[in-house]
Amino acid sequence: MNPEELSLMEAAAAIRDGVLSPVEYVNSLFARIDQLDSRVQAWVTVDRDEVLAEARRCEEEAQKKHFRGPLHGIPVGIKDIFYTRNLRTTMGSMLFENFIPGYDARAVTRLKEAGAIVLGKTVTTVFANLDPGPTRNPWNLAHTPGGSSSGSAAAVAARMCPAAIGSQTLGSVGRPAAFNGLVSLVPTRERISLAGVFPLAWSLDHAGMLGRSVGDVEIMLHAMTEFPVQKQSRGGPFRIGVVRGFFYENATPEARSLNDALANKLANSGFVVEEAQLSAIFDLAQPILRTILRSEVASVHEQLFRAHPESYREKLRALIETGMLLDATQYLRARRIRRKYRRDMARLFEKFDGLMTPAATGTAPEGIGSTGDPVMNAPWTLADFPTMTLPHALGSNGLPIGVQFSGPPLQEGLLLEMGKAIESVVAFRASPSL
Amino acid sequence: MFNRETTISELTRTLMTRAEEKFGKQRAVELHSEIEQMAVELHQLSTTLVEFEDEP
Repeated sequence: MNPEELSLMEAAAAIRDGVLSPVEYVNSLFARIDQLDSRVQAWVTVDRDEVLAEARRCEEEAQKKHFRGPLHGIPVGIKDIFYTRNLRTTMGSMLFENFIPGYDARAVTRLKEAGAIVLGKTVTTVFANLDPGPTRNPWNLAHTPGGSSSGSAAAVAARMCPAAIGSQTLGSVGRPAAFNGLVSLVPTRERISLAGVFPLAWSLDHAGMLGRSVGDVEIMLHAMTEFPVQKQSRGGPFRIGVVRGFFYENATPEARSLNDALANKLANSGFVVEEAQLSAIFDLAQPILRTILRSEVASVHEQLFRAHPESYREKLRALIETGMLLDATQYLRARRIRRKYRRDMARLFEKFDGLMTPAATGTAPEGIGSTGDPVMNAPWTLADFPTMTLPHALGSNGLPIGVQFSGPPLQEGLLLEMGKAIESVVAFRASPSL
Repeated sequence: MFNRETTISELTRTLMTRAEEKFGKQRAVELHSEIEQMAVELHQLSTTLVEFEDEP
């Protein structure tokens, strides 16, 4: 058994059955990190002594058949904007390069309570915006892994950990998941606490998780959620609305044709698949989003930016400065129209259980100067609909292509069940050959 | 600051003036394309008729 090849579900079962030792597991992941991370650069900080000490505690407990929770002994990666007690948390910025929080983010506490071991902190773009970090895509090191949860996605794809957490303000979980051939889930915002997470834009920020199967992200969700996720099964076949229009205009021909091929495959496998028409308010998605984003980012960063303007890179700097030009009435009008946007968009779920779009514009772009375009994900983040990304094909360049499903607010149980049904049809098995 | 009759050009000028006051002329010029884009977005938000069913 190669422990690093196990999915989270498999590893959790192996630990529970006594066939995988948590110490052996973390040592195998350390070896993987030693072998690969000088090229992938997914990790900012890994405190091996503390990880090993925690693995030993988990092992002793497992030997006594005491299991803290469903993640007992599972090492996970934590995006470097989630505070971790006594473990450096840099936000991807030199301003915080030596910052050591005195407490854990609430989401990290929940993971630890479920038995997870914090393997380390993963690279984020600077303050979780668009200025990239050094991380490369394990499928092809000449390509971006996406962002802002760059390190979390690359670490899971490269088998350096079975799962990781990230955050999404526009498309920072779904896009890297797609670029790295992973499954991701971004639940409805109120499901997972953002206490102890450095904000980018308060009302848009969401926590999310990345794994290698729907079952993996389901376990993570159950561990992290603030209130129980109800299992929901569909009485009949799942009804899927394929959203083309705006999303196909922004996708590559290859991404469009692979998405259509998947829609046909699902229709032939018992799903009800029809075209979904977006409501008129969708035309305002970008202006609403950009106005809220600019205002909130400016508000988050104003004081730090005034004190240390030289520490800000161009994309975030421009966002802050333009946000500082807005007034309260503009921001509030955008917030007010957002409520209407969410309500109107949710009417699509009267007819569909899930809305299907490409998860990214295409495969991961070449180079690491940009993390790609979040345009496929941002409209759903704005609506605060839970979204799931699944890998389903390889592009002609050998890099993965993902599909994205959005579900009704707070109905993650339904989305997960649909995701499992789709996953079994897709049967995506490829992995990077590092 | 803005009303429905304000044009995108007027919005851009107003925002550029504000940018010059806050960040200086050179930086305002560097931000010009971002500011133009922002003016388009603000114009769209202020001129599109949106009905709020839950507000009187």
